[in-house]
Amino acid sequence: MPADYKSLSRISWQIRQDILAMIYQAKSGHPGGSLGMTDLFVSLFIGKLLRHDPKRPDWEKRDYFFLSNGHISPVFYATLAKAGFFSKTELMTFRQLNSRLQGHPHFIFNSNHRLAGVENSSGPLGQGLSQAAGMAIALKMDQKKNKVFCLMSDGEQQEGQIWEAYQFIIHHKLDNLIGIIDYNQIQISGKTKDVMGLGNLKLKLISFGFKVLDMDAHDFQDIFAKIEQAKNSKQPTIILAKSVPGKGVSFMENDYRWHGRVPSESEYQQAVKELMIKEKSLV
Amino acid sequence: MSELKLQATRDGFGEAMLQLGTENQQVVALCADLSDSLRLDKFKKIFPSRYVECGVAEQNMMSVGAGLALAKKIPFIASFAVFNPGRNLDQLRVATYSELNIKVVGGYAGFGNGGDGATHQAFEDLAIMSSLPKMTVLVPADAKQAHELTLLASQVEGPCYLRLGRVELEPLDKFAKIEKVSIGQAQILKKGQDLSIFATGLMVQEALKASLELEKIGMSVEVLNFHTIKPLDHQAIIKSSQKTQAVIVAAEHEINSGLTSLVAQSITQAMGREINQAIAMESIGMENSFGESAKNEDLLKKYKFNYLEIIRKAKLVLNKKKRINS
Repeated sequence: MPADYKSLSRISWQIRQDILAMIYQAKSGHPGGSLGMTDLFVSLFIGKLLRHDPKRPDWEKRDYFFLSNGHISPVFYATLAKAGFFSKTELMTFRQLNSRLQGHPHFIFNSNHRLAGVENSSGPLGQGLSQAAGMAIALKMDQKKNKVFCLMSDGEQQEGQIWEAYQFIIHHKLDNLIGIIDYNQIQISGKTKDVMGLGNLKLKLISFGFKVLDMDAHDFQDIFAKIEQAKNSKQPTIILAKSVPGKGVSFMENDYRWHGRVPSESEYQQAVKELMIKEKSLV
Repeated sequence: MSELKLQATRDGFGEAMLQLGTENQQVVALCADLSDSLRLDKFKKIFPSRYVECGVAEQNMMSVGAGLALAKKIPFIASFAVFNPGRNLDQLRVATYSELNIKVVGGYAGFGNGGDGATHQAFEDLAIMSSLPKMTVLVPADAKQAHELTLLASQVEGPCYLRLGRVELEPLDKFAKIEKVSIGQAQILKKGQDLSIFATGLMVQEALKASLELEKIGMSVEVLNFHTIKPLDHQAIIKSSQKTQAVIVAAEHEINSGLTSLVAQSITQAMGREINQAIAMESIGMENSFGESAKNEDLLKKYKFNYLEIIRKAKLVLNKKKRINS
């Protein structure tokens, strides 16, 4: 692993510990998708695949990142804090009274209470892609070059609105928008194929008119390659980011029950121990 | 006389959008395959780059509008009120939670075009919209007022709802001297002592017609136009009902919600504070029923959205008042 990927990977293992600390303290939250998407978030915000400046969150040349599956807010908040958007001490207010770190991200227009780095409110699944499309078409109207990223979950593809948005993006030729699907194949009550199968998602998206890229969401080299490829695409692009839900914690990996479950004290200790070992192995 | 031309509130909206298109580059329009019905066809022709066709997909349209507002545009998001907000409430709710500068335009509210039937007739939209925090809810009473309120809506910083109808109406000027509207301030169209009629939308001119008839039999009637449902003008409600002790609320809307329940709440909460007497009240609205297909004039007659019903209710409410005071 090249040195810079190695340092990103080490940061990922640290952030995974922050994620579990937040959820454990709040006694509420979603570890599965958060741990699965950590390498991608780190690549975007720490690896700077996303054009942004934590000191100037409203910088008008930034790329926009819309989170659609807002329940993985722990990885979003922990990464934003690590990138320097706000203080890491605030992470422990997650899901507590008067916190800016709502269970599902809250964006407030024209407010000082706004959390830097968060571009949209999300939570009810299926809306983020349409919001991102609205931003993308606004940028086109103003002839601006910024890119718009939208992260969704695969379970979220069951929402009808997502397919309304795909149709809209293709119709309006929004090649400045990059959709990423966390393809972890689980959702809250089971495996996605058992709850409501998505069929051949890739073929469906291609038939809509998208360029579709496969990504290994735990291979930094592949994450960087695919995001760069998507940025340079002249066609609206969707990335299928294959990930392991619960990544890094042996008893959470690929188990849908950890979609939204809080670890007990002993589970928490065990999980942090495993993550620390992985972090230290990279020193 | 040109000012007596019959126009629907949607016509006033369409004209105002053309003005806004010229005056404010940030204004954009979104529609779900109903640009003609919502009177956005001219806007679409003149400002094609600022007209966003969304197809028959109202949920996506609302969130796309949210995205445009995040980019500091002022999106007017338009469709029939049964779908917008009827179908996309969740998307609207999230946008409102973000306090985005969106303008939701609910067309064909009330009986709509009549013939389409109950699936296309919105009698719940004011209840939905007035329940949302931070929302401004506007209901023009004629085309000219729709024009004015559309311009004002573009200046409100935050989410806003504009309720539009399709019934062609006489201009209010025909019945009373009409001042310019100011959001949040009910218009006192006529001052009186015996009875207050609080009306919104097309019921405003029915209220004025009823007042003329009631005056013929010696009654002094006060008529207020509630073009803003939220924020509601509590002071106007309290002052007028305190004075006349008899109130009729008239709205082309479901009767247990919207203006009726908001007025009742306003009066009840002022009792023992600004109001120190009982107030007699009656209301006009859809009573536990959906609409049906028919010509608008037949529907308005069958479901009693007219001045005759106001006159009938006036007699009831004045009897109540007499009993309270005896």
